[in-house]
Amino acid sequence: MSDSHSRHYLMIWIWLLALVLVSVAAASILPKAQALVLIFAVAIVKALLVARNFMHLKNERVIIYVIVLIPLTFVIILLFALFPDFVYRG
Amino acid sequence: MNADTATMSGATVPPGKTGTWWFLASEIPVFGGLIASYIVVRLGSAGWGEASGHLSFTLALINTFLLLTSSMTVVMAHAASEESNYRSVAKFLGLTILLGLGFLGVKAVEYTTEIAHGFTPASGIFWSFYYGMTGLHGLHVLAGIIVNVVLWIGALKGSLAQNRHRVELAGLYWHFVDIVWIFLFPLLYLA
Amino acid sequence: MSSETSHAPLGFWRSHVFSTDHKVIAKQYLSLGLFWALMGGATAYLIRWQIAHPDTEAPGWGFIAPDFYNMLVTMHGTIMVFFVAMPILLAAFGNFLIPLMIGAKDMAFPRLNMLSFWVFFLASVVLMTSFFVPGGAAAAGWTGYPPLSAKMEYTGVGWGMNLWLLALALEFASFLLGGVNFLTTAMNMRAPGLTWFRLPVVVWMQLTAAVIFMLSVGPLIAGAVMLLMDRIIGTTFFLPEGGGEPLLWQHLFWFFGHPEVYVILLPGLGIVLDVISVFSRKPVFAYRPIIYSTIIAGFMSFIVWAHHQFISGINPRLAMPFSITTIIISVPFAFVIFSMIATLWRASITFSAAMLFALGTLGVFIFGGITGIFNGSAPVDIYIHDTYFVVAHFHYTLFSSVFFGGFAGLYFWFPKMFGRMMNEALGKIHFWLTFVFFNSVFIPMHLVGLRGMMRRIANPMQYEFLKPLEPLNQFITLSAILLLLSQLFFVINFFMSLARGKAAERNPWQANTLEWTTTSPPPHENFSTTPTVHRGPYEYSSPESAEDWLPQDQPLNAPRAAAR
Repeated sequence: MSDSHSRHYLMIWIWLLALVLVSVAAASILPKAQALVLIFAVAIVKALLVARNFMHLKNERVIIYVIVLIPLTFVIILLFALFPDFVYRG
Repeated sequence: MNADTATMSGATVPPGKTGTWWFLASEIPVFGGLIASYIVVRLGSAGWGEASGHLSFTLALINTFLLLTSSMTVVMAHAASEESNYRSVAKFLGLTILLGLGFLGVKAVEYTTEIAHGFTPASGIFWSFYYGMTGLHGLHVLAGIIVNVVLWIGALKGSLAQNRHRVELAGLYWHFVDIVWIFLFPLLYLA
Repeated sequence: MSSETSHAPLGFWRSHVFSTDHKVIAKQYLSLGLFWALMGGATAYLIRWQIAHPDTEAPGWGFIAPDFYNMLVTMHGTIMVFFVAMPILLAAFGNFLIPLMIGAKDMAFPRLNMLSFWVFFLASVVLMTSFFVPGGAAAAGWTGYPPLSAKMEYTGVGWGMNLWLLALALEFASFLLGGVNFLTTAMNMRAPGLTWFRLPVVVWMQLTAAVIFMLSVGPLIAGAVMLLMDRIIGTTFFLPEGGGEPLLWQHLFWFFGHPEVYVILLPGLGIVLDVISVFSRKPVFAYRPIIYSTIIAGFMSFIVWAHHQFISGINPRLAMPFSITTIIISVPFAFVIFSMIATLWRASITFSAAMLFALGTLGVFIFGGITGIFNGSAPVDIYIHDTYFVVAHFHYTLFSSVFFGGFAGLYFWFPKMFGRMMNEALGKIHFWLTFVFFNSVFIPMHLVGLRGMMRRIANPMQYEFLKPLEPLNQFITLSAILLLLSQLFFVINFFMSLARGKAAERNPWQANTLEWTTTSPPPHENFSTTPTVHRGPYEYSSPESAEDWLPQDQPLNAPRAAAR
């Protein structure tokens, strides 16, 4: 097993666990609103770490990024389009 | 490069990988739709903090650890497959499978505890989303485990050698399932 | 009959039933889709009978109760969209044409392709079964809005609705797998020289449709899981008494539902463009802008969906943005239509049966597109939503691309698919009867809608203000029956030609694309050697050639071979 590869993956894993602990700490220490922002920012960072390193997205051709980013964009559009009907009522 | 030789040049992404990424792209709106629905319905109604307080934060934390670790083991399996080291492939796939089964086991404990306390899927909108989201995610974990088992058997028997790229593809799917949990955990347990 | 090139002969089951050959799979989808078209037509007949002659016995069937009527309208929509349009326009034509048009031996994942068909077959069995369970088949509209669809006691339908959801889930899975195949095949397996902008328009349309489908169906899968859970295990996603949101289903459904109509529209438009080009002996006008317009329309299809919900209680602030996007989306489609017309301009046109259907698509779609503008504008839609005006609109847009476009494709590619020629005279009769009766059904339907007749009511005559519409409704029903009967000309032609049609040569239409360079029908693995492509697909009436066509794979500067 190539050592540099496995060391890299191990490092990413440690970062991921550290970030989980950051989220947990934030939930107990910070006020609710700030905690939420931090927690979701951390979630995005964790997802990017997994995607770029474990899924090797950072070594893939642009087309793969496009294949993933388009549905993500549509999901975000859907999320915001739902706000008027369910969050901003009346 | 003149136009006539521009295609079939081997510079394209291998078909299995392209196909897997398209499949994952189609799964993004499945969980995305469910999660977006949860977010807006929750933001639009008061009093969910109370319901989510009945979830077991500790068990979910354990599950997060199990799944993140399994992502590491499955990519280690991929690295081993690139070097045709099938004993290593089997070892790491086996670990991934165990961690995945552990995840499902913990979820089973969670569900039975919650139901025993009277929190069933029919207990209101929060619980509908909780069971729906984690249930759909759990089914995806189970499917991933089955795929990994098939590959693990192939690694043990030696038949995986002809199709070793499949370890990477199974890993891509597994990472996707992990990423979904990365979002489900804070959405359900921390918010 | 397939000829073997590289391996031992397969038995009957492996070459005709459990085949991984894309051409066989295409025909399987076509057969199943045509079967469901019969079922869809039968539901249409019963619906129209009940409207024109309420509470009388329909000839050949009997009395139609109101609950049964609800089931009919539900299943008519479900069958036509998911079990006729998708398998025929996307799966059959896409499977058959894509590998051939790109010079490939088969799809990228032949076994996955076979699996896709059998999953669709299973979906069909499940849907068929739903008719026979106690309580009957689903009856909450093809749109399945809760709370009506969420609780068994509201419709009286029990397992029928659950099976409906299951059948749809299986159908979605089948087409997701198919989409993966189409896209990977086109990305990876094009012949040397076949760059993206040398692909026939129909391939571009199929690929765009596949992408649209794959990226839009997710939220509905989520919604279907949620609805099934509401029905079976007591969750309350869509039930207000449990804190749920009925309107949420509508958003999830239409987020998919609107792109879906473009999914079933685009392949038909692609077929029409290619057929028009061949029978006009002219290149498709503005090929690249058409591709760009199609991609733009595909993207925009994701941001118009709430125009289906203008009067369902959405936040009024949503109405304007969605009206705007809906009106804008007509622009790229209008561009495609103008390009069709420009292709015909000053062309030497041959009015074959395929060409007639292509031209029919063009005319009918223009009409449907125009009424779309009325529907898309929220203030107007407040009056016409849920009336027959909407029904007329979508039959103009969908029938044009699915039926007229589908028939154009069938008449055009029948020789390649089956190695025989269809009877042109019968084809022309089929066209004219279909065209005349289609319009006599749906033009009056606009009037019926504007006068206020609501959708999905079993007996219009119980409303005083609708009684004057009875003669018009009866005229529509008579036309519909004649429209259905006219399809016999196609059925007879199809089977007669299969059995006794004249043997087809490789290229009966003298067309340029790669599928016409191989035998009719093509052998297993399609081409004896992989073609090399030197030009785009539309070199008709080119100054470079003595003939009025110039195949894509013909070598540069070589004298034309005498017979191909």
